[in-house]
Formats: sequence, structure tokens, C-alpha cells
Amino acid sequence: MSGREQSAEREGQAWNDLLLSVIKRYYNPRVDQGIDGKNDRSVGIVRCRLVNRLCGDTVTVKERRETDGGPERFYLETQGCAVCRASATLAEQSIADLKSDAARSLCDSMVALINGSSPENAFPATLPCDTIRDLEAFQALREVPGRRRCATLSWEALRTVLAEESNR
Amino acid sequence: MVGVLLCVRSIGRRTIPECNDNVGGGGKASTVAFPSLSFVADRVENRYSIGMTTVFDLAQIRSDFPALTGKMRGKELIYLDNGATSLKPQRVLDAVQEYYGGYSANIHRGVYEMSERATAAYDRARQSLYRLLGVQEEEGEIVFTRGTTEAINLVAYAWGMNRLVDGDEIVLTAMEHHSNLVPWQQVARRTGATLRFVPLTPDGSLTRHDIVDTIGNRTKIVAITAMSNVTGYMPPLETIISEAHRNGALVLLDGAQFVSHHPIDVAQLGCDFLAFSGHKMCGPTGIGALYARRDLLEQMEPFQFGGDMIREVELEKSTWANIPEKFEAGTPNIAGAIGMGAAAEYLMETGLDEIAGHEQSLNRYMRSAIGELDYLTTYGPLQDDERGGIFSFNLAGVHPHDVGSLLDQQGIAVRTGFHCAQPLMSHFGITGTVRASFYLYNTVDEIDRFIEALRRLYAILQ
Repeated sequence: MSGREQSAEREGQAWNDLLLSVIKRYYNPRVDQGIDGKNDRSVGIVRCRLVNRLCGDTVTVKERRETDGGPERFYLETQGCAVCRASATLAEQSIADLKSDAARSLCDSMVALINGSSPENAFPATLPCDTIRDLEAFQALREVPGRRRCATLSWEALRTVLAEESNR
Repeated sequence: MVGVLLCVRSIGRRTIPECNDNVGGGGKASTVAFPSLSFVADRVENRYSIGMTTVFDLAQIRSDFPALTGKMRGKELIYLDNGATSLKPQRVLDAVQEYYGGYSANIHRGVYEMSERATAAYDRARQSLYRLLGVQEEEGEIVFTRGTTEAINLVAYAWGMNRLVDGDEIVLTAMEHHSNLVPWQQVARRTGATLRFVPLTPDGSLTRHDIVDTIGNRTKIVAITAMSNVTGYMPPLETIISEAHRNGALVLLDGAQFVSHHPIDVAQLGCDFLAFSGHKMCGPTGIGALYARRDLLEQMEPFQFGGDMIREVELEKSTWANIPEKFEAGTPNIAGAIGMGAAAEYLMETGLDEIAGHEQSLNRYMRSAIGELDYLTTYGPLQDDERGGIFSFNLAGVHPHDVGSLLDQQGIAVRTGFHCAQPLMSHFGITGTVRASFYLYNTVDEIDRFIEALRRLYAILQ
């Protein structure tokens, strides 16, 4: 097997691993979406809605204050495949405790990583190791261009909202 | 043994064995020598008879397509995305290669041998399409385009924009591919014409009552697919054409899915326009054609302007060449046309009747097999005589993309999403489907493996 074939096989295996892990997470047992399931995603102010024109899947970024009176947070509501939902959950989880600049930087990095280029900035050091590992797993999508948009949609939607925030 | 008999929808001059399930015989069904399901499934014996004289040699046909020897994700390829594009036989590859490698001169007006050879090959390709569609030259003409989309746009712009006025009606259906909907939306917006839609039944088919009720004396054109790219449903074209002509309206057929799979005779059918693509009929991408009635083309203004389509050019004005050149501005896709002509010859030699019969047998087998999966929902009518070899479905609670990717891991190529038919998705109350579509090289064995893959992946999700 040539070096190129070995590389292709490794990337194929990485995509297979990612696919099976998100499939397992979202179909067995089935979950609607979200990190903890305690938040009602039907409420909140819609800040951004993006559509994947390849398949019609949508990601909506909503903003609302937690019921315990905490700060306003962004929630992602998805109508999409397991990859789309996994990406949304991870995006929502990852930026939850980041400052705005760091969150925007993470969005940029993830869009770059998923699309097969090198992120300009490292992931925020405050992110847990498990989260960083999950984020890096999405680089497997470089093997399947047709599914990249499933994963970038959430990060792009969040990036749009965060950019608006910084311009306020 | 369960007998499988041909039930091929006949459109045109070719005689096709008419038959049915033959349960108890009767009717006009003729007994056609055709394999039982178990015979078709035989991995060794791939030759079987269709009709009284023709042998459909599946092994030979598969050997004509180099891509079928390839692998996907390290697995033997099962290609079920023929609704998107077909694979290409070696003959087509050779024709394109011969042009580029041997005589890749520009056509028309070249006074040297190589250009004359290219012109002759380009013209022969058009002749092949005449034969494929039964075009009588004195009645109709073939215009090469980039594909079905451009062919429909040609009619929308060159005919629709210039002829329609406020109050005129354009009749469509909600099952149209976006390429046969969006151009007419633009025509309506610019001319003041109104779009009317023949209502779809819950399963996505049409009734005669609704067809007659929608087409009226204000209708100027009926633009409709000959076969849905989502459900495989084939509308009753004879009824639609008859009703349109009775009201003085023209008929444009979107033949992208139909022409490559079924015999058709435009002269007998009586459609006014027929748009289709080369790449769905074993030809190259980037080439297609519009069949149109000669008198209509002669009355229509050109769609695009520039070289090749002119008769005489002065500084302030120009006159146009005769058809079809009037509608083929600029250097055309010469290699594409030659490849499309080679594809047409390949299909005619294989036999469109035989291809349709083969796909019909695959349809029946598929319908029977997926009927056992109670977690699977199909879309579109299931009657064999109303549908071609396209199956759209969803697995309960599973997103089509995830099904598609899991099938991809097993070497199976299907299409997922809304298939450029969002209004039809809305009609079914869904956002997308998984679509498996057959062609002449697909086998029962592949269907077995496809069904097994569906079972396996659904088990993963439980």
C-alpha cells in the first residue's frame, strides 16, 4: 500500500469513527439535542438562522436568560442530521464559558479545521481536554466534503451572532 | 417459482411487450420469457431473455462500465445514484478520448480535414439523437445545450419571455425539479403570467380530473416532468398532451429522468418540447439537448447571441442562422456532443425496451424486499406501470444524511436530501429522503446487499 493510500485509509477510518460516535450518541438512545436536556429550546430570542442549502437542514441560535437568573446564553436549535446536531451541541457547550473574543476565535478555528485548513489560533486553554479531543475529531470531515457543511453550520451561525455582539 | 413478467410503459413507436403480473393470466398480457426472482438473483447466470428474441446480457453490460470495477471506502461499489448521473460505458469514454486525442479541431467553417472530421462527428451525434427520440427532421429539431436545465431555460427565455402576457397561465406541478420550476417563476414574474399547479394526490401522483380541471383556455404551456426524480412517478403524458393541445397550449416535457430509461417517440407522443441531459444517459456531463417542433424554433428568437448563431453581421444589426445553429451560440461542447451521441448509440444497441424491462424487474424485486422493512417509509405511487426505477424512502426517526453516510461506509452510493424538489418535500411533509435509483447495470444481487445494509445500519441505531 502506498503512502497516499495509507493516508487515505487513515482519514477514512477517522471519518468512520466520528460518524459512528455521533450516530451512537444521537440515535442510541435517541435524544433531542442539547447538553443537558434541561433547557427548553422553544423559547428565547432568535438571533440567527442558517440553512444548509444542500439538504435544507437548519441551525437557529437563540438567546435567553437561564431560569435561575444567570447571564444570557446562546442556545442552538437544530433540524438536522447527527453530525449537525453533534456539532451544535459541542459548539454550544464549548463557548458557554468563554469570553466573546475567545468564542469567536474558536468558531473561526473550527470552521477552518472542518474545511481542511489549519486554524490560525490554538483552542482556548481553558477548554477541558475531553472537549478539545471532541473538537479535533471533526477534522475527519476533510475526508467527506459533502458533510462538512453539516458541521460548520453551527459554528458559522454562532460566529455571526458573536460578531453582532462585538459591534453593539 | 414466482414469475416476473415485463410491464413496460410504452411511449412511442417501439413495440414493447405488454404484460402484467400474470396472476391467472388474462388481459392482453403476453407471456414473456423472463427470469424468476431466484433466477435473476443467480450470481453466476447473468443472461436472460426479454421478449421473444432479445437477450439482456447483464454480465456483458456490466463489463462495459469501467467504474463498476472500482471500490468505494474499500468495498465493492454498488452504484444506486443513477438519478443524479449515470456511469459511462467504455464506448463513450473512447469517443471523447478519440476526439480530444485525434481530431480536436473546432467545427463549422474549418476548411481542413481535421475540422471537417470534427464537424461530421458533431453532426452524427445529432443524428443519433434523432434516432433515439424518433425525430422526423421535417417536423422537429435537436438543439444541443449544456443540459436539461439550459434546455428548459432556452424555452422559458426564447419562447416564454417573448410570448406570454398578463393573464396567461403556465401549468406545472409541485413535483417538478427546481430546474422546471424556477425558470417559469421568472417568466411569470416578468410577463405577468400566472403559475398554476395540477394538485398532487397524497402519494404524489396526478388524477385525470385534476389535469383536466387545471388546464384551461388561458393555459399557454404545460411544463411537466415525464418522470419524477424523487418518486419515479410517470404522469399520464398522453392525457396531459391531449388536454393541453385541446386548449391550444404547448407542452414541455422534462425528460431528464425518463429519456435514458424508456423508449420514446416524440413524433408519436406529440410533445412540443423535450429537454434532457447527456450525463444521465451514459454520456458526458455538461451536454444535453432540447427537442422542439421545427416551426416553434423558427418562430422563436435566439436565446444567446454571438458567434456561430449568425447569418450576417453588420455594425448595427445582425441576422440569424437557420436552426439549430440559431440556438447554439459560441463553440459548443463538441466532445460532449460526440460522447452523448455515442451514449445514444449504446443505449439503442442495448435496447431501450430491454433496459426498461430490466429496471422494471428490479423495481418489483425492490418493492417486494423493502416491503419487509416495517420501519421504512417510501414515497410515491407503487404501481409498477406508473413508476420508473427510483425509490425515495426514509427510515423511521433517522436523518437521510446519516443513512447515506452509513451506506457509503459499506460501498453503497445513494443520494440524500431534497433532490432539488423542495415543494414536493413540503407536499410529503418532510425535509429530505434517501433515494436509490437503478440503471441497466444494476442487479438483484446489489439490491439484496443494499437491503442487508439497511437492516444492519438500522440495527446500529437501535
